[in-house]
Amino acid sequence: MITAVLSTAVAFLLFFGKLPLPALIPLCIVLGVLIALLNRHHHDNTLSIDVLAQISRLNKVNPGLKLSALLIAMISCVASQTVFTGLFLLVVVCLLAVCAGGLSLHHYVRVLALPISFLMIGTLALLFAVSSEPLGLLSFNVFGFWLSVTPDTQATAALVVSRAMGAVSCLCLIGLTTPMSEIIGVLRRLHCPEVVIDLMYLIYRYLFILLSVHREMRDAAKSRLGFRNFRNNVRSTGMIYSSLLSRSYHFASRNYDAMESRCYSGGIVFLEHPAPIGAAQVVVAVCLVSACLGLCLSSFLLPTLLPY
Amino acid sequence: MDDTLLQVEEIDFSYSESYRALRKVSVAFAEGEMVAILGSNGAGKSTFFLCCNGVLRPQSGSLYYRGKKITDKKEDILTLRQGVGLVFQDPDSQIIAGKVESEVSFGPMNLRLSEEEVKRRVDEALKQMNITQYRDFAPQYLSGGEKKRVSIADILAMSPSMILLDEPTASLDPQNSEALEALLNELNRAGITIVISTHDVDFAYRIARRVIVFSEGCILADDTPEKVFAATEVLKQAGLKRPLLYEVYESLKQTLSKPEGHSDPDASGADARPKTIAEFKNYLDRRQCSLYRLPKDQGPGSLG
Repeated sequence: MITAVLSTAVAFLLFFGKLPLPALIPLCIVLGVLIALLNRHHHDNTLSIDVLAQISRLNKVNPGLKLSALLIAMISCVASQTVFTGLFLLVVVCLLAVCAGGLSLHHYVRVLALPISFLMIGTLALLFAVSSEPLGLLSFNVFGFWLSVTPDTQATAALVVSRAMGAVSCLCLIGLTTPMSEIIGVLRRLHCPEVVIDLMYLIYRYLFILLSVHREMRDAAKSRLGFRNFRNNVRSTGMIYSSLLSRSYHFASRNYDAMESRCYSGGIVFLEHPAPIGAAQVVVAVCLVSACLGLCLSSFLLPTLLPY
Repeated sequence: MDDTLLQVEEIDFSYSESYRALRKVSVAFAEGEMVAILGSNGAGKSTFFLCCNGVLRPQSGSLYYRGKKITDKKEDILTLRQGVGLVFQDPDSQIIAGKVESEVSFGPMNLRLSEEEVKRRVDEALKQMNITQYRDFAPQYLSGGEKKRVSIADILAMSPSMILLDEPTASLDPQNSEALEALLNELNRAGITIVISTHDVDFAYRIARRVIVFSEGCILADDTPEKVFAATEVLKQAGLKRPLLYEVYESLKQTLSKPEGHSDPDASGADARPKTIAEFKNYLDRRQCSLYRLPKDQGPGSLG
């Protein structure tokens, strides 16, 4: 809901003065309602991205290829001087996730909603210039100062929001289609330090164990009225976290025993055979990367052709 | 004894001055055995397993694997750990990878085998445990029974000659624990020595051909299931109960053989003892009565 309201406000202010009001208002309302509809149903599922990555059809794509293509796209999006790179990525990545990855649009919007609401708050701040007298298109008097929307602030905000949305959607696509173990595998092949890799494997695994232990302890506390009032709540939370800490030490030593019993002698190594690189994957990746690089370069070379 | 796989001689282990987990434990396991270790909580079963696998080093006493003494040398300990696999009670304390296939490959990769060999072993272990369809799954999305299978596959992939299982049925539902029982029997037929620690006496009675009873860090009894469960004193001291079928059979045998006056035809061989419901029904059939058609004056009411 917050995301929808914020996005509507930002869209209104971005296009204020560029579109006639009778067209702008219904457009913004439609946008807000659309986002609100797609973003309904919040479940208490913090790690749904991981679940979605496990079932995505795109997790069969070679992770190295996928990561490098999306990273290049992301960098060119952030570097570019035009809003079109970001908008292009926003649309293409959404299509890739939904059509190629088999993810529902509803899920995709839900995952994207959280970063977007942060983004929208930031954009609102960028849209207003502070001055001592009313400027530009729209001004509000706040405690003797004037907050005004000017064509300049509109341009900056549009560029920032498009860059950020493009980059965030690339990151989301990586997260939504690549299981963590594959990402760590790519980092290993890039010769990331062994300690970091080992820690990443263990942290990823223990995240789930600690979460489930935490959920159990919280439910047990709830069933004994541990969250009845504020005082109780604070006390139970403190107790849960302290015993979670001692449990994690216990887990760590147990786990180390188990690793030793399987002949562990420093360095976690697993058998890995990343998915082979297919011709279709290469074609899509090359098209995506060249389109982004092209848009980015042309925004430097032909600033007049591409506004913003 | 040529076929002795693992010999434990007078090992002692204490976690602290006041708590001696193992006191002078001596036992030997031969190739192809199926052993159950019984004992109440805190009897020293898990500590014993950790010592057998070389994770804990006993303060005194020694271990021999295939006749060779295990010293503190790294190669010795690695040989022991490869030959004697340990399946932990909680699969979550064993599983470390984000994918089933990688998880199973951890052991063989540590043995520094070639990639093809690791792949072959992983495939085989997954197939043996019937979890090939989960190979790309993340362990956090598997059920308890599936995780247990993964943790056994972990060990199988290292091709051990002996597997120690710590409370394998503790958190399994009846169906999964039945499947596990079948799998263990299969592995045993394939020649792997299986040692199971448990407090489920019915399970131990069904599956084991040798029972070892632990109590307060000592071995109280080490014999066939029939003899161990006949020893009332031992069971009392170890805080164990008799298996249900054992009790029923004993009572029934007494009641049935009384009026006939002649000796019990089953008394000759211990193998005749029914250990599963199916065997029990067979037994009743042989004695020409069924669960519902006992001789009139000796109906179920007079059994107790």
